[in-house]
Amino acid sequence: MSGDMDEIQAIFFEECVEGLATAEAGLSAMVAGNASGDVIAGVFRAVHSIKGGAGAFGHEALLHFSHAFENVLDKVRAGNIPATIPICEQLLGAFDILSDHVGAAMGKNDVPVDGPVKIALENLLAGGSSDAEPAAPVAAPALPSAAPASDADEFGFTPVAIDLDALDDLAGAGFADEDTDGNWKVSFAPSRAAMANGAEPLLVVRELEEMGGVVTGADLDGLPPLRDLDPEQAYISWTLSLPANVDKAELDECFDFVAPDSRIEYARESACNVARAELAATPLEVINAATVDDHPTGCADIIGPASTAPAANVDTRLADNAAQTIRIDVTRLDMLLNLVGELVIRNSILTDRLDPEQQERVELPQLGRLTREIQDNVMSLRAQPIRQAFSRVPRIVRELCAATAKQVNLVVQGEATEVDKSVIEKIGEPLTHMIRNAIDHGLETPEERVTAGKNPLGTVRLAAEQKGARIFIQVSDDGRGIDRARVRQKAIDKDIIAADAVLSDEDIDQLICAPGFSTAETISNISGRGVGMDVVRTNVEALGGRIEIASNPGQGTSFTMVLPLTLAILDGMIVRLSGQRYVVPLANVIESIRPGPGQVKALTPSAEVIDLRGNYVPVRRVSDLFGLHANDRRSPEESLVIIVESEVSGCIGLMVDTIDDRRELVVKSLDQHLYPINGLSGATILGDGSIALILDIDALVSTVSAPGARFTLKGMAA
Amino acid sequence: MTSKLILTVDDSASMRMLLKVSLTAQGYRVEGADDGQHGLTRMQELNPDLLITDINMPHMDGFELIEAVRGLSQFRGTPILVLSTEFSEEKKSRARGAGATGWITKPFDAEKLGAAIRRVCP
Repeated sequence: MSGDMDEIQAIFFEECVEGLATAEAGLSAMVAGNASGDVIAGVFRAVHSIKGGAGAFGHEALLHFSHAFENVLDKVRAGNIPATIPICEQLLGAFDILSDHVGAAMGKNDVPVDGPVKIALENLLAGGSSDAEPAAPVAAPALPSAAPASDADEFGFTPVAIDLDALDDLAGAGFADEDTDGNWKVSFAPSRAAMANGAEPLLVVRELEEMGGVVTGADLDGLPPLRDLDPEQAYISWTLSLPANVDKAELDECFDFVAPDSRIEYARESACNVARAELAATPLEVINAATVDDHPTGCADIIGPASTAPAANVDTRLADNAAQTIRIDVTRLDMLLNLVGELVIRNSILTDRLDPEQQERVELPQLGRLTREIQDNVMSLRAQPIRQAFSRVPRIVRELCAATAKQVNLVVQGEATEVDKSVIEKIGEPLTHMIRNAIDHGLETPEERVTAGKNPLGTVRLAAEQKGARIFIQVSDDGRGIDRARVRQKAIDKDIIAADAVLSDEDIDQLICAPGFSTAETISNISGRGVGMDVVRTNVEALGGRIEIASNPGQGTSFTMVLPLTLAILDGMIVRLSGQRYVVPLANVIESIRPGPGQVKALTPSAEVIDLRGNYVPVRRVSDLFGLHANDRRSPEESLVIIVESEVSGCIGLMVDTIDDRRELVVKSLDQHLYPINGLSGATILGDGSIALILDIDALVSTVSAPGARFTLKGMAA
Repeated sequence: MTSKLILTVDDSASMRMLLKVSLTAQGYRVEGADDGQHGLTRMQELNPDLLITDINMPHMDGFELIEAVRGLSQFRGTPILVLSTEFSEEKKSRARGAGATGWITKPFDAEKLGAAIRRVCP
């Protein structure tokens, strides 16, 4: 049933994606100069497998192209084509077409135009001639033609070692198919060794009988006396007569596996005299022996839809046995995920309501651990390595290099970082845009780089990392940095800022993400497609994340997408601010202090520092930052200061009223109408069912570095 | 009579499944292994009536697998079919030299695959 085939094909597509990733990594290594045997073999195998499945599932265009590609890779593997960097680059170009073909087979894109690349591959195969003619005739039997298939031999699955001239002569003599009148006369003399390797010549005779053949004679002359007889050797030869309606191809197939030095002859009875005459001049057994050994057409002539026919008889139970991967609707996973989240919350409600002794008695801690394990497992079902999102980047870089004549070394780090499926799906476009930006705007031309005393080869770094409950995806370059004067001018021209606005460098950098700001159209047609960084920002914010920009003139720029895990367990410290509870992620907490008299000093009314064993650390009142009951101002001595550290910009102290608890929490993303709220990364449901907001320490620390900063809680004000 | 047991060795899961679906429909029992090394272990565990192996596989390729299997006395007469997209003469004679009984070219057609199997495994 076609359902089974769909399942298998889905697995084949997964293998294709993996195979493409392997091939691309290998080819990139080859371009970088590592053309070791293992690397080449890996690339070959990947393309080879894609070809195998393409044939099985009837993706003809993919089959043709992968076949042509594989032939070249085979020669590279054998050392017949040198793995020079220009050739490897050519192979990488062919890879791009291959991946488009795979995409087309999956229905993701149109079938690519591959003519020129195919011709280039054929030229490589023919020895690098720049001639656009197909390969030289000598190589022809092993070559696929660039033209569409007209018959199965098109694929190069023709018997390669047959003496074609001799066969043609025989055909010309009326030995072959056009004379269908006469019965076949077949003589079959297996070689002595015909029973080696598990072969059984008798089965060939049986098969011929099933086709309507009648044994007309057996030659026992070769049979030795019993004492000399080796039961594992063949001594007898047969002659058979087969009906005229049997195809020559069917006979060929019968003898497909017969040992090479066996003697096989067949001819139509009416044509026998002519054929015999030919026999005298031509060593027919040699030709036919070759046919036997080389005949690969057995399964090659049915490709495509026909190959799906057998599935029609398959028992459905098979699918269960065969399945190594189960595909599940994401919504069902999400439902499971939500239920597990509820379970965790129920668990913490129980923890709140029972005293420790009761908890032990009902084995609540054990239940908690189990719940946590279930949660981790369910999470991991949705988690996928970010590699999937990164995989298209090398190609984008290659295309941009070609279009901009810039030289780029792409460094990818943290590909194994696991992120939620939804993140992978949604960061593709922002990522592409950030890479385009880095190469098109960030990097200088090789000449400019040399003039600036830099390596002409620019570096673009793509890195992913999970820190706490956030994923950091960074695209950085070592280019010219943001031209702040120009950005500022542009923002003024576009009425985004006033002409006399006083802005810090960071503020100017942020303008790049402002709606309506795009320097692209004046610079090139690569990055500028009518969308700018504001679209990237919108996408990232839609994921509950933010974009951080850092730039040093002359040294480079980095764009970092900071994204939340959609749902995770977080170790959190629950703090109280003006009666409301907030969560500080424990990963950020260094220590908490009850300030002594005079330990917190006010530099200005809005800027305080805490004397921490001789070091002064800035202190912020979180309630002020969020605009909570500023009149209900406690003295530092009545408060607690939590020293938190951010990866981004060091330590600050957060002044809170009290610390309530330390707890494992389920992080819930803030809903659409609640973000973006700078300073908050999510929310959680506490044991008593109430909601607490989770502080985003990185955002707090970096924004707080500007004294007097205050967040506006747009959604919260209502 | 119990049905014949076939071991299929191929590094592609989709290919193994395709073989399993095709061959089970023709009345065979089918087991799979994903590379030569694993295939050799499974051969010894299962003692199948027929081995169908791919050539290009990681760790241990089809040639090495065939040689290793033929090196074990209990498999001297076990038919081994190669199922590969390769079709070069050099590869085929290498496979025959290693001890393969026959060669089938991918992509395979179920009917012809069945005929090929019956040709070596009655």
